[in-house]
Amino acid sequence: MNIEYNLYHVDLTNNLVKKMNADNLLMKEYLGGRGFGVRLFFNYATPDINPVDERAPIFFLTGPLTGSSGSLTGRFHCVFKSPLTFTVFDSSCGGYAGVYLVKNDIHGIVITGKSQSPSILYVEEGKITIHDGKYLRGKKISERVSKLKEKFGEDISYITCGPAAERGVLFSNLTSDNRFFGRGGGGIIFDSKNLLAIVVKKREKSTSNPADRERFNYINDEIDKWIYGNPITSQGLPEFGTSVLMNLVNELKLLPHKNFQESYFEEADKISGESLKNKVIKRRACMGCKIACGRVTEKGEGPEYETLWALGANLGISDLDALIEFNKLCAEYGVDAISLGGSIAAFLEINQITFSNVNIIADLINKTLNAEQEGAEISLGSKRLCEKYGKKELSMTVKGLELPAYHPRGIYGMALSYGTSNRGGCHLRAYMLAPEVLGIPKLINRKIAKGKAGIVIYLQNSHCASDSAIFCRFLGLAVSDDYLSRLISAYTGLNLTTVDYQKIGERIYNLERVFNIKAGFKREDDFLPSRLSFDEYESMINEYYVARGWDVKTGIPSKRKLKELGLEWLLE
Amino acid sequence: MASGIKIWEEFAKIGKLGWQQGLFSSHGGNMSIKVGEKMYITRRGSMLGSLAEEDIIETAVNGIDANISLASTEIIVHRAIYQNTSALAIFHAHPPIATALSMEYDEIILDDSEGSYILKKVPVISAQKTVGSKEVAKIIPEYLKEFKVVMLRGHGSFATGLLLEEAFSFTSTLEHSCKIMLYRSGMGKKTFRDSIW
Repeated sequence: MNIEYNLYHVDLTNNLVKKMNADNLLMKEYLGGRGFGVRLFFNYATPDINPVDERAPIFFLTGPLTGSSGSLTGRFHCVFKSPLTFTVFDSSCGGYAGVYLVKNDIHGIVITGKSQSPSILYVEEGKITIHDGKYLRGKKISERVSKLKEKFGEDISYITCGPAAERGVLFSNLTSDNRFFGRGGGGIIFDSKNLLAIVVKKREKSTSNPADRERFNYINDEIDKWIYGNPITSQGLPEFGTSVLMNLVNELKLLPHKNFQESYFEEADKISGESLKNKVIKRRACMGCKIACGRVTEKGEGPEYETLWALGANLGISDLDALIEFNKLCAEYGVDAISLGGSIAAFLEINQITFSNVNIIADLINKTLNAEQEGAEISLGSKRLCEKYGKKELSMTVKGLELPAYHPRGIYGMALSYGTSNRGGCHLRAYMLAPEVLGIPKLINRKIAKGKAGIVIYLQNSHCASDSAIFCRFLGLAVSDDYLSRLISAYTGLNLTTVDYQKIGERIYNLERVFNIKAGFKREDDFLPSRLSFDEYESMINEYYVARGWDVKTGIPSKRKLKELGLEWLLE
Repeated sequence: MASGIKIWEEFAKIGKLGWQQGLFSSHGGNMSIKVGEKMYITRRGSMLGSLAEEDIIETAVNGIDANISLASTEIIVHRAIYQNTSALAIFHAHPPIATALSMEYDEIILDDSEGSYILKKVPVISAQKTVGSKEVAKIIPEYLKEFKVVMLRGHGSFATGLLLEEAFSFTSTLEHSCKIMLYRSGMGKKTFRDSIW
């Protein structure tokens, strides 16, 4: 294999930085990124650990193609146990830090322990050092970045949390170069370790070194043909960003409105990609990206489709300027807009407060970001909020994670993927929008239940492997798995078939499932809130378990399945 | 098979289109989908261009049950493909031009725009017994781990996909590209180039 994977362990309690032995076998079975992180978690802690226990690890991991010239391979991954959901959690981020790490000959960092005083990890010339970070405390993210640049220079990339993490907002996230490890509360993990930022100094170094350069270049060119030939990746996303979906999803009556009470928002067009286009001053791309889905307005990066939905359509807000301002607040305080919007929607419904009032929403956002007054309750997320009020049924969550911008009653595959997502209610685990709305690879009936499980499983496995390689999710809209497995093979020399690629994904998905079971999750946690469920859902879950090789009554992977995937060590 | 009505309709739609395109003779070809541990496969001797609900047979992917006696002759190959790949649908046809080319070449490299984008290369494999044979069941899945379509020399194509429509579309693309190749060879043009796909 052509890859050397340099993993570093930072023990903040003892101020130690140690280079670990790379395990090529593990790479063959998990590739990198998401898979590597979930597998390595078991080496550092048990799944039942409290996420904010100082022994709980957080991983930042690149994939075997990070730093290569492969298209859409510039992302990197973060893995931790979520303080919001208590599930295993992984999050993907664009920006530059992943590539900068590889250029520093560092492919992954695992952080454990808790620093005695606020700290910063600094990477330069292949070395990691620990620095004082007190001066970042209490600062908004733009101020933190300015301070970091003053201290370490303009040519840096960073990962940092915002002040919301210090105030205990459970859906605080991590920011890297104005992109986000968006969901699950990674900011809280930073805060629990007294870690304020990771800074990576830019380093000029060629890192694209394919095992078979001729084949790698050929396959990469073939992939580019599809990126440029597909109207979604060559026109829709570059022209309108992710909010190209707003009108499309609304017209299909899939756009959740008023805490999912409805699935159509009369004024969606005012907050669509077409409307946002007038406010965009430039586009922005991650490293190695040919799509450039990022929008920048005069207020900064974003907003994305999910933000426009969560704080807009779902709350009944169609004032685009207000949404751009809300988006900026989320970016400055470091919070996940989906969870923020979902939690505020639940709060409005519980307290029978009118939706659609910009002033009320703005006030609640400010209070939540500062965890003040009623915002303190909202900052704990929709599930805890609704439980506190004895209105559990009003929490639009799965496994404690607020659901995203697709109403599951109208799109059954997406519903199943929400329910069976290992990190809680998430659209990206299987991204069923592709076959059920976008017609990739072919359009299928959104409201047919039978047979959907197999497709959900295929895509969940596929995206596990993709998140481990690491590819941008949008690459999967342009090319199928056979391109991706060939690209990995040509770069690493691993010689993966499409089936091997799927098998890696299946191994990771089952490992995550076992993690969650050991953390206390059960079959009933795979169900949707009653408002969102439908008659066929239980039969879909049963079909899913059978197809996965899991026990139908408990949802636990069978011993046979674990052995088949080389996970028999979990049985010990 | 209450919900199976939808499955049957999908089989009938694809079967009719395949027959209209000349991808098989009146009683040739077969197709299946996998749903959990079950599979639905066309009945032995059914006419794909005119399928009825009773022509779709439900049987197990692993093991054996009574319905095996009703299923397509090629069920052994379909099962082996499902057991060894991540396919959820299989479309087996006898496309005449691709089959003719399979009798002359060890691989079919598609160099028209559609074929080169979608399939690029289709391997051709040989077997002593080409219908419902264990030998074919052993070889075909190995190739389908890497390729969307495989040609069995002198017999026909096996295509897989996430959906039946997808597997059908790969077969349709293959035959269409082979037709273009045939036209070009009639013009005296060299048809094959090397491919590192």
